[in-house]
Amino acid sequence: MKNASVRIILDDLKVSFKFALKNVISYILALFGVLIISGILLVFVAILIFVPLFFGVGIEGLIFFFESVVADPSTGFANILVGGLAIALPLAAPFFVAIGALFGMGREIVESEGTSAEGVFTWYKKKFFSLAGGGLVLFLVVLGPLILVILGGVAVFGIDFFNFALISSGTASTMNPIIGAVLMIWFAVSLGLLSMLFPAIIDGYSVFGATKKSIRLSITYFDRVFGVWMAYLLILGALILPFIVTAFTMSSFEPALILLGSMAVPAILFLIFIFMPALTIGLTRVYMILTADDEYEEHPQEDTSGPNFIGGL
Amino acid sequence: MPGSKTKPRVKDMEIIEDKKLIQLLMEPTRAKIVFDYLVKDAMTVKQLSEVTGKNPGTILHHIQKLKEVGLLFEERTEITTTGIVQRYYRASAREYRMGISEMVQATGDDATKRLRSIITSLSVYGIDIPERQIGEAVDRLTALIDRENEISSRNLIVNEVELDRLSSSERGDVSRIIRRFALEEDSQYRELRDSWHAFLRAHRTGASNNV
Repeated sequence: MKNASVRIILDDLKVSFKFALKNVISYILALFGVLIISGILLVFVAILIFVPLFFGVGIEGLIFFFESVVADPSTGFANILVGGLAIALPLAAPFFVAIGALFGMGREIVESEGTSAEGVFTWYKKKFFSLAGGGLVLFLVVLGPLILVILGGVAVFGIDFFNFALISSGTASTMNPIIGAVLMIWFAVSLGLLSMLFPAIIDGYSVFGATKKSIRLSITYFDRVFGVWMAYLLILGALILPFIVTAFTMSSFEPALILLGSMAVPAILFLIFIFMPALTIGLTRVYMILTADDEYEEHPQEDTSGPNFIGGL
Repeated sequence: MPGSKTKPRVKDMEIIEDKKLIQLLMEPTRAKIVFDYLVKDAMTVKQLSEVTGKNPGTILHHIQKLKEVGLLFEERTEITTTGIVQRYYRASAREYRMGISEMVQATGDDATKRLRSIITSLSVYGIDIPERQIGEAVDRLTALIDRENEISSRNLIVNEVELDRLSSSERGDVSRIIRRFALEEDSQYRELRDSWHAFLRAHRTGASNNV
């Protein structure tokens, strides 16, 4: 039940997409609602960040900060990166919670076949700090090493390290292909290791406990966790790669671009309203199968109760 | 390794004395889930949602709260033909009683009002306790129940493996016989019980009000 085979992975995908389609209306309403709430919270967090900054360093200080980022990135690169992250992370927190809350809906579906749009708000409210913490862990584990490498490289070799390491000597929009491939593998592996993080938080674990649980499960049941995770990544790749390839290879061929444009909207809708819910359902389902206590020794089943001879007490 | 762990044992009776737990169980849906359903059998979120009329999300949140404090545990997991993964939850005991003193502390007026209401309701059985003596009656009853709970919560089972082999009705019957026997063995309980019965006798309709 817990180990993977092609048939089991295909079953995982089939069940998750089936339930995502069945609950599509709930997901559409929930996603709109949760995005509105996240937007409101983002404004609130922005006020919390920028109002004290405004009174602390003044409007000139803020203008100088943003101008220094745009005009001369080599000046205090590390400070800008760290400062930028310190501002970006709290702003991103409501969206981490929104993604986590979708896993809550996924849990409802996996346990009971159904969910409701308002369910997402309950998860959003009740698990807010755990889910935000989970998002932070995800961010730090996936992007943390990358940021450290960049910071270390810039500290030793200067800002040229950033240009040469990540961007090839050609145009700025072309990423070094080797670095690009390494980054893709790193994202796939690190996100795979943490793919059980949100399901574990929804199951009641603390952020730290859920992180440990996710890593342990993905190592112990490597085939099942990474099998299903890679399957979703392949679907995602199949969905977005045609757009990237067409955009790069046929950018001057107008009919191809028109076709690309007309396909983009349904693809994005599918990605947001079907693929993402299916991903949350599928990963939650795998988590629940892997954490099932099937190692317990069997006790006799309860028989049907009969009349009591001894009353009272 | 299959068979390496033992499923948490469902206790015959558990006395809840923790104020936080009592407050947690004062919520009507949670109380219904535990006292009406999960003390009798293991059930899934879906089944509980159907019998209580609440949505699965609400049930799941209550289940998680109850699981966190150890009142429930996951008995087994099953994958249905439709692909859903059902977890069966079960209460940690077949019967729960709440410590009266702790319940009064946890719920304040509610528990006191309920106790006073129990005392005045004895009138339907011909026992009329005047208003000025209701406080005394509440104190006597509370002391009796507290002692009863203290004795009943002791683990009197000497062979738990054999107990598991009994049918649920047999288990209930033997448990009641032994609990009654243990109470009768306790001199403090006997004293409190006799005093309470004398109090009731004194207020039986037509009897003198002096105790």
